[in-house]
Amino acid sequence: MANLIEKLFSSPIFTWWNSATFGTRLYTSRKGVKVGEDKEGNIYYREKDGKRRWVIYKNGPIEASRVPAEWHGWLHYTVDTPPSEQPLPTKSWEKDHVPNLTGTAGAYVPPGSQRAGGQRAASSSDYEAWKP
Amino acid sequence: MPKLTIDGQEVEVAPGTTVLQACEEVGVEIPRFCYHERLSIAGNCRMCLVDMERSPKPIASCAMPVGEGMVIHTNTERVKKAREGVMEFLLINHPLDCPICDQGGECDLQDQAMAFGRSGNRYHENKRAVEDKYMGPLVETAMTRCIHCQRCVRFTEEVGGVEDMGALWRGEHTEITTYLDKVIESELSGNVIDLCPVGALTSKPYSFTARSWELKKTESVDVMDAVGSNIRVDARGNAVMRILPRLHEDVNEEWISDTTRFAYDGLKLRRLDTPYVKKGKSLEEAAWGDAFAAIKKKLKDVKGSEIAAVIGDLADMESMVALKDLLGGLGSKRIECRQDGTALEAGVRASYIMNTGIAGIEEADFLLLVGTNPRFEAPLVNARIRKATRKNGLKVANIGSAEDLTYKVDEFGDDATLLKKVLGGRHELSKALKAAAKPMIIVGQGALRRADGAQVLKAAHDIAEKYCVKEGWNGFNVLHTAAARVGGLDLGLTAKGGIEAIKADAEAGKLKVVFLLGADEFDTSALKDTFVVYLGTHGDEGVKNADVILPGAAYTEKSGTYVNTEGRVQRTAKAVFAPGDAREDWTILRALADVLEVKLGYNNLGELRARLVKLAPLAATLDTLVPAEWADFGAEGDVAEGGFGPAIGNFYLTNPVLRASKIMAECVEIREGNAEEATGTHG
Amino acid sequence: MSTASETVAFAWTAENEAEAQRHIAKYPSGKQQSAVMPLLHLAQKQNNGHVTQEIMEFIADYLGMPAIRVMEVATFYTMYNHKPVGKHHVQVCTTTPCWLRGSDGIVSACKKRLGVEMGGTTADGMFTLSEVECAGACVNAPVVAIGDDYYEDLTPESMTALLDALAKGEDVKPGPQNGRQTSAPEGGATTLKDFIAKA
Repeated sequence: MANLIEKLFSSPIFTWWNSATFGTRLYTSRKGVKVGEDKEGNIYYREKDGKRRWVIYKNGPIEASRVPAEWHGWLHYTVDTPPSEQPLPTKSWEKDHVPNLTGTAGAYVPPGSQRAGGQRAASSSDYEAWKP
Repeated sequence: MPKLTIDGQEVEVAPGTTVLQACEEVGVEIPRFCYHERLSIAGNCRMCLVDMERSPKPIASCAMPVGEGMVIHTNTERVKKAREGVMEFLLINHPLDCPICDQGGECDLQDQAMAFGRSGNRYHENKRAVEDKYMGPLVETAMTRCIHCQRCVRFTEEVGGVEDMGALWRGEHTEITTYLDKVIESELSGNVIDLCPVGALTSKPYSFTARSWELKKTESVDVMDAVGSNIRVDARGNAVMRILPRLHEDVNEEWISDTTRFAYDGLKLRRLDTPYVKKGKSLEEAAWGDAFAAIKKKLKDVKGSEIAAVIGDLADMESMVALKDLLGGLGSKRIECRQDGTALEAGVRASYIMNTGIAGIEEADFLLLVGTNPRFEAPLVNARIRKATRKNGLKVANIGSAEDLTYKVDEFGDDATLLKKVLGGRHELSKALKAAAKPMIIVGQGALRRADGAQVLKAAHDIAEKYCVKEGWNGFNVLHTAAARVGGLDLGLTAKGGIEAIKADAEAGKLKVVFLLGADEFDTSALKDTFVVYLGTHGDEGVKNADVILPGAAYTEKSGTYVNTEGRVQRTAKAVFAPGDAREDWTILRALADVLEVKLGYNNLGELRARLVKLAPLAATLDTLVPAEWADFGAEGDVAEGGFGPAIGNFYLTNPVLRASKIMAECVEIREGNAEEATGTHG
Repeated sequence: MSTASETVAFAWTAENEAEAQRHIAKYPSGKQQSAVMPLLHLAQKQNNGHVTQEIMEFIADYLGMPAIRVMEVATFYTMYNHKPVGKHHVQVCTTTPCWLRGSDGIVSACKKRLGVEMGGTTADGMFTLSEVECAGACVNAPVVAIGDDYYEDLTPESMTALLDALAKGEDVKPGPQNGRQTSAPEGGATTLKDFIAKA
């Protein structure tokens, strides 16, 4: 039984969070015009008439925060020229895009947390115990 | 009795009262910086200006004695302007660094600037800057903030009795300093921190560690000496951040000694936080159950007569009662609270307390010190004596080693036989005692620790009976150095032969098990071959030869009853929790009793206190002085020639908390330059 | 303040000892501390014009008072110098009456002649120039105090001449430098002329 559930949950027919659903794939193949790809390999499409824009996630789960800022702008009609044609100017101090890490091993834990090694900063309530 | 009108209210006050005091009497608040109730009047801050009718200009109310028919106004436009003007002048040179100032939140200048100041400043020139002064390891300075109220100068001179501080130069260039930037040589130097109305003098150990509003304030009682100063323990989280005095007119007024104020860092160092059991040659950490089991195993074939207990200097009465009952259940009555070996007996209460009371010193007109140095044994008693010498012309004579007590003392030499001569009636002192209306005698622990301590006590008793005990006046006083001592004597915790007999019996193998309730002030090497159960807070003398260590709670970590040297019963309050696995002492003994199958008959603090009151009825009289009945005490016999030893070693190292404290070690180092040597256990 | 090198113990000369005792005798017994100011002044004079830490401590001991109290007095009054001064301490009054009568000119004459700024001492150690508040001789303004004497009714020229004379070690006459008799009206009597003529 457990095996069956696992199988179902990895199949694209039953899940939408691992890869694009069957319907989306069909729609993409019928109407989609590929516009470009970002560094993670996600592929961006638009309709021929340019009315709709969408993304097919690759190399990872379907997670909206994986869309980097420049593509996010295009995807939400903030800009019309996709960054593949006209990349956004970048500054030396800009960091690479990082998707939301919540729930992953890379998630933020405050210093002193057990998950951060359990070494907390010194506190005024600390005391020095006597040792024989 | 002059009558005057203040803001339309008529009031009659004693002659000599100042206008400011009269205003306070009718509930009118006058802002002030330099004026302080317990210091002489300086009148140099000008903040207390008020309007007096028929006076062409506002008067400084702190320095103006009341007169018949005065009409004072404190809420006129002119007073408002005067206050604003003074405040503006004060703020010309005061830095606006409240966010980084330790006084922020409890600053007189800050508060009064809010209440009485202008909203703006018209001074655009540069502020002056003053170099910080060095005042030792306790007082931090930021002299740019100083407003020259001179409270610190007056305090050190008048109360502290050391002329170390002064104001140099003049006008805008005035600087408050200690002479050549030396340490303030006073045991009360920490009080200048409280007195400073701005952030110029702040606590060095406390600096930048906490803000006043984030502290949890617990009203408690100090145990560093036998005065029982009322204190406020300020804690954040589970840490005592600082200790401040609390007003108690009859005990500490509003001062506390430096050991009281700065001992708190010792509460976090060298702490016992888990039970230990000796396995083979070394102590090993153990669970509570294992520690109790080890004690039970040892006690299995030990007779009651082979068990004894020694009470330490910081023990509360509750744990003493629990230990007494526990030992009683085991068949032993041998509990000793006089670990310094003094000759005091528990029977007559008048024989071991300060019958006159600390406040009573102010009534006395002649004081004879016998083998005591109150400056170090009880700085606040000394401050009270100094106050009496200044205010009432109290004459002080001393039999004992001559020390600088900050006031004039007539020295009669360090020889105990003088007591007999005084009793003879021909000595100069006898005449002085006889001539005095309210003579006092203070006997120190140094005098009672001699081999013939009981005879010295008897001699002191006879002198007191002859000269000092009158109708409504008992001038016989014993000055204690340990907070637990009077409580222990009230409970009758003395054993025949005292501590020396316990040591001798232990060495002879007659004692098998010894319980130490925080007893660290005697040499425990005699207990090397005895099974020692140490219940205490710090790794100090007592743990050296311990076989089982039970971690207890310090005075800030439990509610305990203490009796001070004048017989005043006071209670500490729990400000923080004991560290780690440590528990409140009486609960440990209660749990141990269960393991040893001894029934103590109480399960909570209330029941324990009921038992305490049964054993020592006076423990119920919280914060009152009950006059003790005069009776005979001491032992007849000759007093041997020779001087009295000191009652305490180093003032800064008298108990385990102080010895653990780094601040105290620094104080010793500054004064002696050999902290390494002195941090050992001094008796 | 004194420099560390001056560690020579201070003691009264026999003459000054007697003088010090004379000052102390002015006050009731037990109140000898009241003599702290004249004694400081005496010691300053003996020490060529300035007081040191040792002197303050010596006087504190001498009068049985805490050293800090002596230090407070010695630092409060500007007449006690804490740094060595030249042989002649030229103290120019620049308070309002003297200023109105041209003390600015006197100051610049001094600076020019001595080649030092206010508070400075000449290289040869002869002169120290300093500015003081009202010397209390406004009637003869502008006025300069040099050592124990006042030199009054000065002009930049007479000031320079005065300093020249002092530098040469010549005797100079204290008081008005323009021939005026004490503080009598300049140019002779203006009232009671007949009376004077008759007399």
